[in-house]
Amino acid sequence: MITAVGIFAALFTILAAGFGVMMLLIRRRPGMWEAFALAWLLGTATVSLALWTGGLFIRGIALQMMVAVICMIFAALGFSHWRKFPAPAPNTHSSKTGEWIFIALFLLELAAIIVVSFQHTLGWDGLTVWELKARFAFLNGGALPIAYFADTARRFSHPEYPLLLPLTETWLYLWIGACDQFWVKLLFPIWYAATMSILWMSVSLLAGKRWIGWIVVLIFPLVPCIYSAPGGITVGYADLPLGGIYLAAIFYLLRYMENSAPEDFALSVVLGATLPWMKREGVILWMVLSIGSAFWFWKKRDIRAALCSLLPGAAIIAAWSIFLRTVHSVPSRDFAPTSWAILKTNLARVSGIAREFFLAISDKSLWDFFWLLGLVALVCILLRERTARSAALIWLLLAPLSCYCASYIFSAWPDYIAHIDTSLPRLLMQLTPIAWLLIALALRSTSTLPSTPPAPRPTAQSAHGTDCS
Amino acid sequence: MRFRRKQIYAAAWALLLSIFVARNAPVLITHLLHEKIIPAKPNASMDHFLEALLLVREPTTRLDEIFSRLPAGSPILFVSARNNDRWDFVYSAVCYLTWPRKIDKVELQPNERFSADMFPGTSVLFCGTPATNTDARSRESIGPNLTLIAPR
Repeated sequence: MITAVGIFAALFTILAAGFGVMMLLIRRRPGMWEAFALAWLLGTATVSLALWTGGLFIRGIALQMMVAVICMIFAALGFSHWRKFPAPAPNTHSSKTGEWIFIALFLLELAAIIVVSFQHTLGWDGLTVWELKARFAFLNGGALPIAYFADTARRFSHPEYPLLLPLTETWLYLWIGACDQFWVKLLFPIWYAATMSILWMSVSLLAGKRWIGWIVVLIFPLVPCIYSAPGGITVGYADLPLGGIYLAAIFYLLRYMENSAPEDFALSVVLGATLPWMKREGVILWMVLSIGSAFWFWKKRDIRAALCSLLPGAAIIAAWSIFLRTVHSVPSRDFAPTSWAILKTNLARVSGIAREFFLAISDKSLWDFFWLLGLVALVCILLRERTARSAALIWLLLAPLSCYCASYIFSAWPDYIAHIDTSLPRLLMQLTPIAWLLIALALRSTSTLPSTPPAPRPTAQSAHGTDCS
Repeated sequence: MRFRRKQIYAAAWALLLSIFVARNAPVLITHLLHEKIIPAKPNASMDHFLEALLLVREPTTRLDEIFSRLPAGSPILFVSARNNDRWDFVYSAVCYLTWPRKIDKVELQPNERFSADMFPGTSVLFCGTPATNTDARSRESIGPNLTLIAPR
């Protein structure tokens, strides 16, 4: 009973904080799915950042109460904003039987994901990289002990990794009063649900048909990697949540490209800024996203907006780097520092990396023929849909993919092939949601809509999203 | 003609996605029906891995109990064979369970011996390798693969 109350309090405060931050960024009442997804994604970022910064000064119950108060202040501010805007216009789609069938199937899918999540233990990295930090922070009153970062004996746990996921787990532990490797698994289906909500909105926007959005969301968990491999939603890794945040940042960027609403720009920038706070590869995703949006603004001759889009993410990367230097964090031993000399020495690895990449994407036990679908979609888009939006999507998929592969040139493992085998499938998982977006864009050509689907331009008067309420 | 091409395009995509669903939905459903929910215990995940490696029941409870009896502040030395990935997880688990104790690791070459006597104030954990000590320090086995030599 106490555990249930603790879980409720932890989740409620996260969602309340996220709701508040969301309402401070937008000028309308969002629909149910969008509100839930943003509340979770922004809430986990807010709570973890508050725990980290607060933990530099205080610990224990004082820290927990301080973060809870911050969450409630955000919630109160958000609620007062929410009241200013009219309720979303009744959505005619919601009343259709088909829509309700899809919603029922989606809820069944979520139930299946919760069950499958509790059928698996946390994975190796889920325990020794992510949950370990959550445990140490819990035992230290909510803040990771400074001594941990310089502990060479525990360097296997990557002290240099950012803290969004572990401090969210710590938040749950603080409320239930103990470390619990069973109940912590509840967090991951919530990230999954948030990702699927965003995926549904994105596909509905891109394909122009809500039912295509539902179909993609219902097929998504059938990619074997999602439920039965390291990095999947069942083992407590950061990869799929990172993919969800990346997808959300892309979705709002694409919406901004459609309707130029400042709130979509703000959401894309803020969500993009949380990428480096989730995982180290988030820096690559943030850079790719920032370059994409900077190019867009440069074409529109809006240099100020381009610079603004970089600031929050750059601030988080800088703050974390300064912190790691200050606490003398043990550096990662996975990659050598990038230099021309190493590049020249290791250039011969390119063929090996390409071969391993091909083997990874064609591994049927992990992907079946998912990446073949992605490739077919890419070809279809190149042949049929040469628009700015499709160019952006292709960039946002292929640029991080290339960076991930190229990074193995600098692998410091004695056997770089083993490094690829261990990590590449997880990196690919981060791009699975965006690959589904490409497939959705290819499916768009099957619909009978005009070439530019009407994207809602949210205003205070006629506020409505692409999602159903 | 254009309408027909569109129909063929849509049919091709429907076919591809149907094949994907037909191949993978049964696998997920089988997975759901046949796998069991893990025990709702605080150390469920750690126990799952350690039980297989150490061949003891509820290993984290056992290790927690043993580590709590060690002198406060006593460092731990983890001794295992070099290049044996099996014991990497046990080392990680010991690091996990013993925080904030200081811990170090020694990896032995084949046929190399390690004497715990050289570290009298240290708790030495032999993992997957025979424990060697000549003095009267207390020795405790945690399954067949892990032995703790406690400090005097």
